[in-house]
Amino acid sequence: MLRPVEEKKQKNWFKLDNAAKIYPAANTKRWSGMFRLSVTLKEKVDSFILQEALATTIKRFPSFNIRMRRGLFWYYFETNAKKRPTVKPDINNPCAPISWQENNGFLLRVFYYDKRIAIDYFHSLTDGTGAMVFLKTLVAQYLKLKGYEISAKEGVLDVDEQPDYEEFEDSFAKYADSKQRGRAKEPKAYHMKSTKLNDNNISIITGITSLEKIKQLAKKNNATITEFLSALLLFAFYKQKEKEGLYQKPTRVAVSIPVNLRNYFKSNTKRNFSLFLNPGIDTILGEYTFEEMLRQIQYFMKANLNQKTLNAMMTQNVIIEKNILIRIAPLFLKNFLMSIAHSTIGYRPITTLLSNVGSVILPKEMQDHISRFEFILGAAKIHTPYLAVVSYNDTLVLNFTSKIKETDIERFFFTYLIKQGIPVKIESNRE
Amino acid sequence: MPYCVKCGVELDKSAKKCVLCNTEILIEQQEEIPPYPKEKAEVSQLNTSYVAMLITLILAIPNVACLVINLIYSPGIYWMYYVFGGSLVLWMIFIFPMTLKKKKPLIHVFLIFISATLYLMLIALALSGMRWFLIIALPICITVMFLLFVIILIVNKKKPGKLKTTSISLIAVIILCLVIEGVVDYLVNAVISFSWSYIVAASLVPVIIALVLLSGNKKLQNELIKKLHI
Repeated sequence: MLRPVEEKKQKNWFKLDNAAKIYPAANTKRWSGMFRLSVTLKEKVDSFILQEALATTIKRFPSFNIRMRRGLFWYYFETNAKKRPTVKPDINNPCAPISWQENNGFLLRVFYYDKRIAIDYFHSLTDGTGAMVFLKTLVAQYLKLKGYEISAKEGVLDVDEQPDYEEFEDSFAKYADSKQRGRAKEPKAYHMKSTKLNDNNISIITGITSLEKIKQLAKKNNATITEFLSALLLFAFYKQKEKEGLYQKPTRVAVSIPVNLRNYFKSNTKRNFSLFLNPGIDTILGEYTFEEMLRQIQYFMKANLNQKTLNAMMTQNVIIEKNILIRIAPLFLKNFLMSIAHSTIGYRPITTLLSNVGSVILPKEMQDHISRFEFILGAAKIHTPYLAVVSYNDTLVLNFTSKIKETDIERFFFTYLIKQGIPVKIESNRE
Repeated sequence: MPYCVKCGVELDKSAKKCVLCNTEILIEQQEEIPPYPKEKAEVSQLNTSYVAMLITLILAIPNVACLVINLIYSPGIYWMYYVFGGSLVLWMIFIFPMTLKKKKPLIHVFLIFISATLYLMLIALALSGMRWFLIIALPICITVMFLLFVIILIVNKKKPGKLKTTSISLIAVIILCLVIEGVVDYLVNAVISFSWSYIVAASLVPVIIALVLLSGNKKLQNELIKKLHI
């Protein structure tokens, strides 16, 4: 059933896009910038069919069918033509670190477990949006091989079609053209005190709830779901800070929210195209209520979510890599400096992170086979929980990931929803 | 469907306790597939003992090099002692704790004492100064180790507050001063006559008494904090 591997194929190569560059530099044996998207079907997954579906699907995505190579000055992606990625049984610690050699050099790992298909992506490959298209196409292909008719629409790509250049373009390079120079300095943010878990453990606490009920609750506060959930996450950290001392420095509590730039610039890329906004509050000003925090986040988002501001932010990131001194520095030096920058400056302005890939829409024929989607972020290098959000039909899945023992943030977050009359179901990989 | 009685959340059928608050679930378990498998992907753990070994090897390089130079260029004059003893003391202070999984302060102090004494002895041997070693160095080393032992034991077992720990340390300082003056006097004059250490003792004893009294009086502590805060 497996297709023969085509031996000689033209080897394309790409530069890493602006957002992708930090992850290979910050990669260590114990930490990689990973995230996971998974889908739960209504019947048990057949790993043989999945393997076959993966082999066809990955050929359709030139920017996924690659391996990491080292140049003298930069890393680059090269088409991984000779080999194919393999599917494996799932593991207890998703988003485990990646090395360039494993899994035949592919920077994604496909797992199956009971009814679930899960993909761990290395963040250099793509962001949540691109990853979702890949997952949807893989599942559609899997269902097709099982004998169902699935049409290629609603973000499912036709695997027999030739990929467009636009699908693997570097949209940062294309759109970052602001004349603005210099960025607003962001103050140092509070990081919670916590106890670290062992290196091969990751704590995943999943809350499954109703999209409609959360939507109503957000609407009651005149907010979008992302705004409402980030305010609640911020509130949980604020309560944590209250325990540790509200006026103890650093006093800023900020939540980092990735923004999908495809909504603001015309792009169809399946590679990275997102930016972080870091709204927050400063407890030096005094005590906050939940509503006040929500307003702060809303005003910040409204002020910054426009093409001009986003372009300026993106341009500041892009001009760093355009700097001639940085360009001619040898790769090992870049790696060294960038890894230090990542673990220090990178986490400086944020307390936590909330990523919402939104509501998944599927072709009608697929909907009968799928019960839910899940999104898991890799744990942060700092010891703090991150929250990942995805919804499908009425199922909203909230996933907290961390490398810490304490569960105060998660408990506050979910019991807050319970108190508002919203039922939450909890799942976890913890013992 | 199991629910957590404390958090109010619904839990997975395979769950044994609530992950949010560790409350155990009392209703009977059903055989269910848990949300995640047990198998883990191996992640290389940060092994401090490897790092310790690496530093040890690096530390061994100058030692071996010095030994060779010593043997070739100045046979008979063994200045190698200094390098070796110094490295040993450094190793005991900084690298030995890295090889331990749990902190063991008593063993650590003891090993530092042994290596420091050995270092001093080697210097004494090289300079043929066994007299000062036996009269000054050895008693001082033993006193320091003994005092540290007592302090660590008291702090670990009795867990006195900051004030009492300070007063215990001050008592140790007095004893150390007495010993230092005693042994130095004995070496120089062959008789022990205290001339300065009792001044130290005299000035510290009231402080110690004050601290001990203060540590038992919460009201007075608050009053002092109120009046003297900066």
